[in-house]
Amino acid sequence: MTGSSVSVSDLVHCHVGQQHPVRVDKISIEAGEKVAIMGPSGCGKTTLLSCIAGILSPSSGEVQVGETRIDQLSDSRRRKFRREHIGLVFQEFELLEHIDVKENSFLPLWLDGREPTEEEHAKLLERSRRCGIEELLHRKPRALSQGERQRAAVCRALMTSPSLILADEPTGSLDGASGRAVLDLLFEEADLTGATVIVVTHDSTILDGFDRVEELSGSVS
Amino acid sequence: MSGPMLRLALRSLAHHKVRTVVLALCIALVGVLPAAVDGLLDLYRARLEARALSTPLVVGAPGSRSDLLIHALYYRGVVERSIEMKVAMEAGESGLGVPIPIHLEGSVNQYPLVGTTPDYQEFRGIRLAQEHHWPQRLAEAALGAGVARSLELTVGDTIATDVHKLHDLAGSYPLLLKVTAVLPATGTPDDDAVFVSLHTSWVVTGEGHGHLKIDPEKDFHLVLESKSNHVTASAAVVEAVEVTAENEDSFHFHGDPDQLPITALIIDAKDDEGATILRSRFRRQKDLQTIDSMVELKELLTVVMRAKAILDANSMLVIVATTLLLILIVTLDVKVREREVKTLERIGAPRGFVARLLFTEVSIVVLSGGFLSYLLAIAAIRFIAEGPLLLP
Repeated sequence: MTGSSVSVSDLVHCHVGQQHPVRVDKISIEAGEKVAIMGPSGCGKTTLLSCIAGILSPSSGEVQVGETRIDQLSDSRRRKFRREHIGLVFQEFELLEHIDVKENSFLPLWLDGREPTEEEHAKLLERSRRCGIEELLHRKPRALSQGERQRAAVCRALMTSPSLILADEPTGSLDGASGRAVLDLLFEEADLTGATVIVVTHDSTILDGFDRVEELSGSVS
Repeated sequence: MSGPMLRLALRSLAHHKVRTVVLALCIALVGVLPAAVDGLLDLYRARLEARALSTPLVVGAPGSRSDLLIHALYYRGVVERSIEMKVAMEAGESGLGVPIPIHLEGSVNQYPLVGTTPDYQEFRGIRLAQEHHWPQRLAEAALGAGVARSLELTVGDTIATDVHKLHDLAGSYPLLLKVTAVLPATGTPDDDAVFVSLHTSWVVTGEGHGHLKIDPEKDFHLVLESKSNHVTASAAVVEAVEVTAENEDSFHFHGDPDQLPITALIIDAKDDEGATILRSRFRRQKDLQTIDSMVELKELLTVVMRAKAILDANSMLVIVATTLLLILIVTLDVKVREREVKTLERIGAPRGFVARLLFTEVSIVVLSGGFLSYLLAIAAIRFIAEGPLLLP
């Protein structure tokens, strides 16, 4: 498995009811790179990440992940692309409260309408061991600490062995040590699979380990 | 619906236990009444029709036809007037069928006391156990299976008839009945009736009686008038309440036996021709009315069905209201679960997945409620069906 390159150019996205659209002139990320995107609040970091993930469709501009022009895909195909190629980690973890950690990890497969194979079960066990949540697989999210929840969320994001990992403020709800542990985990997994990692953050203390940092302040109006 | 979706739906329902159980119970309660009423009506219709089919021809005094039907076939209610025993005798003498007189005025522990002849046993095809026999003598009784079970009585036990005229100055006494048979359960009104001979029934209703012999010399305080061949006693003379070998001969009936009352007459016609001739003869008599049980029952059921249509309309309105409430609850639920929905969308849930998931959840709740409703209705039908046949 190798990572996907990401290229964004002349991106404009207008949120409904927002006066100033988000603009990104150009960002280019090589396959396998670990990139932090920084910038002041409201500059459009999360919007950019959402456009790369295909959660949002840009008003204009190009978004390319690997060989695929995300901005040209239909909504259904963007969803499918996201399930198959992109692992997402959110600040608030976004785990479903009514299913346990194991089921949360298999959620991307379930959304594809299929049960996990034996191989995927084994892969989850192996990954959960590396994430340090092997003993927590049958617990509901509410029974976990913040750090454990984020590790569970990382475990879910990696379930489909994505070529691109997008994380939106993954350390925002964690203390320093827990945040660092989660980032190290993401980098470790990315090193193993060769996946590209893009992390949106406003915390300059966590930049160790990134290949480079993209500042959005100058390119967003 | 895929396995994973079903699992997700079940997990969500299990997570919100209270909401799920309350919704399922609401649906169950809304559905149980129409389901139980439907089931009970079907059951009763089948039972009533079976009884009417096996008792096609009934004769009685003019009056309400449905009252006569219910009285003669199901032992409920009273008829305004009785007919004379001679009607039954004449029918028997015609040789066109077997007359089965019914005299139903008394009761035992609120169960109807049916005075009839031994022909009733053969007419209904009642098979008795070896040591049991149909009541032939005075104060003998055969108990329906339901009566025996409810009162915990068996052959050899005794039971008193009910006294209806507590303030009768002339005296009104219960009669002790000896149980000589317990009928097998048939699921018919026979299960909840007590059968006696016509003579016993007449004694119970005061058409006949028995009392101790009075010696005018010794019992002068009981004598109102004494003539050489006739003694008139006062009401202070205690009537016999139990038939014994000593007093059995003292029981007697005043008046012409042909004129003793019966409240209905069932005709077990020899064949269709016999039934037609007898029906025609009875119809010519102004003081009699003849009813074809099935025709009368269908008319009665038409009235019941009209009432049921109103109940059905009411049930339909309640179901519509519940459906609207369910839609409202689901809409509010989507708002409450906005974050979960957003998560599913963000990690790539296919288009329409969330809607299908919600539909699956609602379907499970509705099906569970419906199934629970079905079980409750079955339980209610069984519970009520084991009891006496509910008739006005």
